[in-house]
Amino acid sequence: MNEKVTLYFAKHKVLFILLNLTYIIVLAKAFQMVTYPNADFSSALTMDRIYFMLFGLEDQIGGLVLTFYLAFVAIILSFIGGSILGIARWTGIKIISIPATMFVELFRALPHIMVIFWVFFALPIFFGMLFDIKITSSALTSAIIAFTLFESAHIAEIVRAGLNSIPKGQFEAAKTLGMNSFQVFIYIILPQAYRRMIPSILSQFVSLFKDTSLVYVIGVVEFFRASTIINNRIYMSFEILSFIAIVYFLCAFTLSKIATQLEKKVEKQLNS
Amino acid sequence: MAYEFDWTVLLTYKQLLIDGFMMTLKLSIIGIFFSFIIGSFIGLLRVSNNFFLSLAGTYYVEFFRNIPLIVQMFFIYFSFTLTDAFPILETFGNSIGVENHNEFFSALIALITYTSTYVAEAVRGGIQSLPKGQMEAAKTIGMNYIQSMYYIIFPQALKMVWGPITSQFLNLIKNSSLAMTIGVAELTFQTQEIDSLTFRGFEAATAVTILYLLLTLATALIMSQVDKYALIKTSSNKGDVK
Repeated sequence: MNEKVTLYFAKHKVLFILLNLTYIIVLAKAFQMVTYPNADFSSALTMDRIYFMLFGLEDQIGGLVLTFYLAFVAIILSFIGGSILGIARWTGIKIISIPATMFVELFRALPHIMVIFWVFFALPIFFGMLFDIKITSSALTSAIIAFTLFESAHIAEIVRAGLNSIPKGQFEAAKTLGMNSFQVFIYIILPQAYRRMIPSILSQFVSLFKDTSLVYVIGVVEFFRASTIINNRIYMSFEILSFIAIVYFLCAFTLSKIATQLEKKVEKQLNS
Repeated sequence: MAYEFDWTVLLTYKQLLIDGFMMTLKLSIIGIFFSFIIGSFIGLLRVSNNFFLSLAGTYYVEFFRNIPLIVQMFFIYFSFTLTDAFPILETFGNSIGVENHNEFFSALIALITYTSTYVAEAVRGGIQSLPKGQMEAAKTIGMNYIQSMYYIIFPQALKMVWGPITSQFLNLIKNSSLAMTIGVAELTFQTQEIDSLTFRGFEAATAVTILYLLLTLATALIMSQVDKYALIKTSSNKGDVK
């Protein structure tokens, strides 16, 4: 019977999605009826509140847009940083691989919230000591720096794994063609490794997207902070928080599904 | 502007740090225990042959994995009063010496749901990576589905994915620092406390950073010892096959 059900839904994907949607709506409604019967969504989520949560105030960037902006800037910067660190670890030259390893292990072992605090509170003092100047850091800059620091450490591991997955024959073949080590690395190894890394980096982007909610603690008005601001004013936490949970879920779920599809595609390409 | 270090502040406020460490420890240990059990259960659901059971497992995983942990914590903490709904939590909290029951259990439940999804995915990956012949062989010697899962498949899968599960447990310890946002007095919270009392956040943060490093290293060590002595030996660790 199970094979029949699975086959049937594999054929009729639209039906499967509709069934899932019905399930989810029924489950969510049942959950709300049981736990919070007098929820009032229409008075909690007015248009201007939703606008504030999604786009922030009119004259400045904020809300969900800022969340995406943060995630994009941080992933690009940490892609660069992570590549450098990962390659440094992969080369095995002790003078560069040991500091890179220490950096990666340190930032992977620290709680992300601690890193954000460190950057926001301690980095200005630290630089002030070094260069004898007074630095005031904005919360947004600190957030981007903090994300770059710990996300580079995570991406460095992905880069290293990607580089390690390239078979040794590739080096030897390229060397036979008369390329020097640098050329081999740039033209042969790196492009192949990056193609294998794309899915992992995309799923790292999903986790970074979720982590952007942590900058709540230093007061960047991104999606989560914006919703808590509204929640503090009207105190209808069930309605507001279910709304942000749903929006976060939709974004992260779509992104992670794209990552899975891409992974399948890359695997197919590698096997063929 | 030079910054004068004053490490004596750590000695003065060492009780705060010890309390915070104990709170982090409680969150971590209970969280690891329950997220392992629930995660394994959900992982088994996801590989189940029953279409609707595996769909239920998928729902759980996708739902709790795609919502940020801090949102889950806020949702539980601000929308519900847990101790009203489940009075047993109060007795449980008293027995492990926790004062703010609502905050503690909101954080704990969010940590468990969030981490258990990752454990479930790891367990599912482990079970699916085993050859199908294992299940068939177990069936041939007369075991039913549950027996062969329990005696044959699950121990091997666990051995295989012990590394990823360990790193998820380390993530749980690190993520427990988020509990400070709803007012659980754990390590990171105490850093802020010392900072606001003495304006010496730098020293406190250094100490707490070292404590976190110690905690994660100790956990990784314990987990590798468990791997070495408690888990079954399979043919995948080559040293044992002679």
